[in-house]
Amino acid sequence: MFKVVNKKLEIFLFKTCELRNFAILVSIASLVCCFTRCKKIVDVDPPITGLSSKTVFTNDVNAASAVTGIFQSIMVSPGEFSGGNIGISLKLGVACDELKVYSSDNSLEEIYTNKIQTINSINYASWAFYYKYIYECNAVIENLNASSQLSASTKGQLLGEVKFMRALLYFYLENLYGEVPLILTTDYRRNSTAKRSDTVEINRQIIADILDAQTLLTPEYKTPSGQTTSERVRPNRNAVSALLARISLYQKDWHKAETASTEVIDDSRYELLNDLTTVFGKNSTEAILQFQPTGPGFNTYDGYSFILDDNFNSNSPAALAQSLVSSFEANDQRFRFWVGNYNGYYFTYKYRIKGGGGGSSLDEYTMVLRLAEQYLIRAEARAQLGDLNKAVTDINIIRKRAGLDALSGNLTKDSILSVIMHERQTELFAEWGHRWFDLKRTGRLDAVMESVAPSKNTVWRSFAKLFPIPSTEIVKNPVLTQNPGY
Amino acid sequence: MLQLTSRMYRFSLLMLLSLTVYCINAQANEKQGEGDIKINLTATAIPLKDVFKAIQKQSGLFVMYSNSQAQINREEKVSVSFKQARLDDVLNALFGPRHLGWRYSDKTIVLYAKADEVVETKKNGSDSSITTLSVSGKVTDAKGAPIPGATVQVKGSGIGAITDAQGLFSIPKVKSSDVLVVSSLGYQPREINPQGKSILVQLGVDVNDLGETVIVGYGTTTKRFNTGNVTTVKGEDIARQPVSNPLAALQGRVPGMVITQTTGVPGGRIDVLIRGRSSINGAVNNDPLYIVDGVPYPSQMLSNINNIGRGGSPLNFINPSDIESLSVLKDADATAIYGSRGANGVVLITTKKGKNERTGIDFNINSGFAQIGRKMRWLGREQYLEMRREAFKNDGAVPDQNNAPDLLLWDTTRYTDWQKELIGGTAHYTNAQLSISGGNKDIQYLVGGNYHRETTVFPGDGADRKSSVYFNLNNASPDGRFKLNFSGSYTSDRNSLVYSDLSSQVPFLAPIAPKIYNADGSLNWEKSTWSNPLATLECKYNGETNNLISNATLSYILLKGLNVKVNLGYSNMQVDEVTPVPTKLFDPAYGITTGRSTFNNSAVKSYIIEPQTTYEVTVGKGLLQGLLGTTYQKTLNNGRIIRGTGFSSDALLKNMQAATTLSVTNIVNEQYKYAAVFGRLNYNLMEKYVVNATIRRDGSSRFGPGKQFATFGALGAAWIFSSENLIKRVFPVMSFGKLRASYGTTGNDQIPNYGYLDLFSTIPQALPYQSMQGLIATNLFNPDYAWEVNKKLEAGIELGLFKDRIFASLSYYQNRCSNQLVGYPLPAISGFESIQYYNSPATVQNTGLEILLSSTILKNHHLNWTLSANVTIPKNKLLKYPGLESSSYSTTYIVGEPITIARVFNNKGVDPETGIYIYGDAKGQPVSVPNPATDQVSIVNATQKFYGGITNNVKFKGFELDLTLQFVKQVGQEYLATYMPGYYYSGGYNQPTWIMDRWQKPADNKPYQRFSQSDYSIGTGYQNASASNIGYGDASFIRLKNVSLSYSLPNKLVSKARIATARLYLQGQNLLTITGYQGLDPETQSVNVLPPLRTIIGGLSISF
Repeated sequence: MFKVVNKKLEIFLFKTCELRNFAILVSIASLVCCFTRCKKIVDVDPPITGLSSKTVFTNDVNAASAVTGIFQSIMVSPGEFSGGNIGISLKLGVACDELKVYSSDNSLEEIYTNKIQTINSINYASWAFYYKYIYECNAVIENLNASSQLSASTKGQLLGEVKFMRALLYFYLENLYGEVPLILTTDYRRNSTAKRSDTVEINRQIIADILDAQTLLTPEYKTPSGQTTSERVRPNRNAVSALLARISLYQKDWHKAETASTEVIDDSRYELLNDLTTVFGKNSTEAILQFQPTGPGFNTYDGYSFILDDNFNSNSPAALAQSLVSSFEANDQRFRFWVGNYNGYYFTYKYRIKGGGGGSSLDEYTMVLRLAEQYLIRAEARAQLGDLNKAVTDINIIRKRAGLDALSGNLTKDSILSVIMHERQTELFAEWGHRWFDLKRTGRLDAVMESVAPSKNTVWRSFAKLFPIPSTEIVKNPVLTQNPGY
Repeated sequence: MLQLTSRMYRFSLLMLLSLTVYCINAQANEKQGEGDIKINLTATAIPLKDVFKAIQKQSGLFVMYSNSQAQINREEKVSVSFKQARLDDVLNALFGPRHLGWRYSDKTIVLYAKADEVVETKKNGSDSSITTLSVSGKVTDAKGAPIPGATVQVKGSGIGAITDAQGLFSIPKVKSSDVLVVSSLGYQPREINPQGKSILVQLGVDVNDLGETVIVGYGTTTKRFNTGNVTTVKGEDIARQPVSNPLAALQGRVPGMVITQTTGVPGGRIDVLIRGRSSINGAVNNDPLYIVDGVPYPSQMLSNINNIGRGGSPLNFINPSDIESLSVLKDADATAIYGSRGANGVVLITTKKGKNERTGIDFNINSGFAQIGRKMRWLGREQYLEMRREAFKNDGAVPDQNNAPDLLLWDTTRYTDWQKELIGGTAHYTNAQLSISGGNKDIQYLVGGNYHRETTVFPGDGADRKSSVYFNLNNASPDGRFKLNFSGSYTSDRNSLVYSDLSSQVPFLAPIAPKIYNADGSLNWEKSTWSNPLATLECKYNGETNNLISNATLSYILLKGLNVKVNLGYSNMQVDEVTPVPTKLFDPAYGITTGRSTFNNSAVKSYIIEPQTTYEVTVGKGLLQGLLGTTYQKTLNNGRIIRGTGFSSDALLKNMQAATTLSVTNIVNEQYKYAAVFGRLNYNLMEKYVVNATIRRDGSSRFGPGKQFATFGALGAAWIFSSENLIKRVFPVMSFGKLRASYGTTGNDQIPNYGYLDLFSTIPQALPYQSMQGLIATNLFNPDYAWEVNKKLEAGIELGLFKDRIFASLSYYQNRCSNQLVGYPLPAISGFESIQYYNSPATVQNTGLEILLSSTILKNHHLNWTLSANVTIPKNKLLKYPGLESSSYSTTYIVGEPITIARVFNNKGVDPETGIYIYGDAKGQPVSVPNPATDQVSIVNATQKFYGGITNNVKFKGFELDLTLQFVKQVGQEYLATYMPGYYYSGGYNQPTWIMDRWQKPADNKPYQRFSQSDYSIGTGYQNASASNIGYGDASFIRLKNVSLSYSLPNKLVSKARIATARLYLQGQNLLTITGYQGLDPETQSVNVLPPLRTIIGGLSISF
């Protein structure tokens, strides 16, 4: 009996305690073990659609892709720099006295009548464009600086290119909006609450980037891998100097403007083309910098929007304003070749290819900087410095190419300056907002706009010289203040 | 498919193997004894004595028993099937059901009755001698499964016992004259006279609802003992409704759950919100977690290019009639077991299982039609012309061919009711279903197939066709220790509906717009003066979605009370779409000569493996149940959208090869991994006090290194106070009363993958730059975000009165969501317009009251009428938001107010002088163009104030009538005007008739602005007005959601045709809507989206 009880007890104990506990222990242990041992159990590979920054900046080719991507991405669809119906050329052309709007687009209409609402969608797209690509530049600069695995030459070239881009972006941003937040890092926490920076600070940064780019870049045009090429689609040292010349002119630093433009003019790579229809072709010798379009089926978006071969529509919303048409002198070849006519409407015909139908070859690139502007910059700088004869010489180079008579006789500084302004109007019309910025920097914006306002069926208000900060930006970042008047 | 099944097979095999190894390991440590001797014996109907012989032969042990101890009939025939079975198992299988035990002793097996009887004679003062005995036994249900926790009580005394996990009990000292009362909740109680010392009590299931099984996360409980808040909707309630998406059947039925059908287009998106919005970012979906038979199911479609269904709903690919039940888990107690994924609630869908019954065939067919239930009143021909002419007069302008082709070029005597033309058609609905089920004690199966075809109210011949097959197999080993459940469903949906929702065209067509077709049947473009609305019919869209869900559960009873189980799941949803854009779509004047096509292929595959251990033991006077498990889940999203252009022929648009250029416009390639350990302990003391604790530790690949893991948990408790004697005495009418409460945390990882990586990606649809493919930074670098935490508190009371004829439950909840993982809008100066993954410092609180009342109003053998009603009163509040003023939400939210508020302009009506809207600015001064940054001074709360439903069920003889009303009290977006009344563009803008109440001349005081054909400030005025106080209004409604009437043919009649049951039915959905809402439908709150349709079907269901 005792034995039986004992045996039963033993089995009981065995079953209940040992095995049961053991089983539970095993379960717990195996579960916990499995879980803790595989801490990496929830690690995943990055998607095939992208690379993490750590991988990108470990070799020259990938790093070059990251810089190339900035140009490629800017040019893929219509936009501030790539042109088209929301591009800077069209936008500032309609804002001043160059273009007249014929579409029902509310946002464009507001720009045309200089009554931009703070919720204007084109204005927001433009603002967001600058900061998106400033972020891209900042991200690349940070990563390039942090990387130790790239060759010195590649790293130098890429840094130079990106710093040029950042200077270019800030140049336009500042001229459009005035004092803007200066964003130089990728830290969204700091950036999203950034205040406006003053002009001095922004200009100091632009110049610093330009000087860096000048040291880092060579006068040759390069491919992403550093080979010399005839494609003028990445900034070289001349592009940097050309931008510096323009900035110096805007800052009234006449000496620097003269030196920098001379540097470019003296480079044998560049010459003015007498056949005006080829000036805006790809790799034109007049080009100091072009951006290669990347939208499939398109050449330049400016060509797509400016050339009229159909009714006005949201893609082709504007034609030349009467004030611009009548400003051309008789026999100006620029009017003959750079202005088209569709059913009595004059349109910008600098780019010759409309594109957009798909399948056409890529023959025109978006012109960013070109030689003619450098002559006009130098003429103005020289006139301001009192070197009137040399100024006239530069102007005559431009007039001659336009098929116009050379200036002659004794001209005063003021009359030379006003000729330069006129030449700038007819040479650089509908290009990158030159007219708007020229009127603004020379203090003639109010006078000119007041005179054209009636023809635009509007009233000019002086504060409109600056575009408004988009209201959503102020909503999201309350420390940002609105430009006066809006 | 082949590859898929083989993978699945390998997967299950692997799991089986590891499970087996697990078991062997566990047993290897047990001392090798007689019980482990292996026995092989398979025979049918052999006498027991032969079984004994075989055992003796194989084990060397002789079976001994005494007839006084164990009543065994040696001649009894048994069927056995043992392969390498342990002797213990063999004996258990043979004698367990006979309540016999055994011991090994000197080469013998001694059988004995399990409850050793002890007879003693007790001296008592008055009674000279009373025989008491020790009684033991087992309580089982009708099928022989043990009932743990049942009460066995000696009538009229306090003596009693509670059954253990195996249903066994033992009571010492029972008088032979005593009566034992055996009761267990959910079963009908029985009284037993303890004649023998060892008794078996079988209890019949109580029809009472409280005993109904409630499916909860990783297990089941009963309505009675549930400590959490779970609402279950039965399959039959879903099947009564003519819907193709099971979510649509839940409207008005689940307290705390807001279901919004966003469109009436078949397969369209349905928004689900359980207990309110918790994300401050309106773009973030607060979708619940869907689990179908243990397999997580996507809540959003992946990269769907056809947007007619507003994004679609994956639940559309689950056949409503395959659903056995659907549980909505709401509070922390119910959802914490899902840890990081439970914050927005959990919806558990259980599909039908085979039953232990004779083979049966069910056949069901129905057909019907649907139409829009409500129409808008748009301007007629004369009113339209009046508007246009007045607009020109107001502007002082003269109509010309550019601004007034409608007045000058069109036939102004034409009239078309575009609403009728485009969305006034009749949709047809056909559904056929066949299922076969059957089985025996050990194996049960169910196989079914379904075909569903649905068209729309649009013109054209498109349809949505769904075919599905479904199967389920259950198998148990003869000893009942090993169980296998395998189920799978495959749905194939072919959608050829028109590419765009034609409702969106109605507001943009003048009543005098030209005819659609020319006499020769070609599209009429009326000399390029309009966009033909039916051009989209030329797009022969084709979408195919194939959805496979499969699941296997293997379980093994390792030891008494200890069960190991593994759940394996695999799901795969594949979408294959072609959207051709033929040249015919365009006005020939545009000169478009080549067509284009978009091809979309995407797939979501998900694997899940969940080993679990459950343990059950009686501790003291209660039952303790434990669960421990792990989850490993992997989800792969793959997709690509390819755009082909330059097709020379419209006929070749579906052939990718015929394109001259192909470009990949979108690539999705994502991996999601998720792992967790979870556990639960549940203690049920005397069927009165229940405590339930859950914990889960989760890891997710969606978080950056160091932030991947987090722990969540909850504690729930319930007190069934109606079981207290005091309550029973004081409130005899109260048949049931329970108080429950829970508190816990859940999380939310419903954010996109890879958010922490600063990715450089290729640029879609771009030509190479300088022959190089570039990369661009596409993410803000942001490794810091971590888990979101949702703290949930709940208290509830459940009452049953008059033998549960009236049942009421009241729940109060308070959910607080902090550390929110939300997209955060950033100013563009940061480079991006938002950061998708950001832990917001905001805390959002959702509180609410859910009331549920159900009652059996009448019950006799002819008539049975039950009524059930529920109402939810939700409240939302932004509890705190440090730094709100300096955040991008500074003008959106207000601390202390709901996050559903909209800050809007203060519209002050139409200026009597100018005829345009004026608004009050921040200082209350009238302005015509308010500034969004400063002037949004009015507050509206566009959300539900309360909502609920009432369901009636009346059964009378063979008839059954079901009636469900849904009601919602809410404020919603109202509709004012389409852009600028009086303006012409493309097909012309039509306007709602109320626009005629407009300003016409100075000093007019009217609610609508003057007509104009060119003044953009009128257009801006209406845009601002929709974002003002007058843009919102009462969008409350009462909807007769569902009516179902069925008649079962009398048995006498059908049995002649060898039919078990035959039922004829009529079902209607959205039959009637009572609302004061001005627009098309108060639910969709839009004028250009197809409203939910009114559907009526009739059908026949037969079972053989």
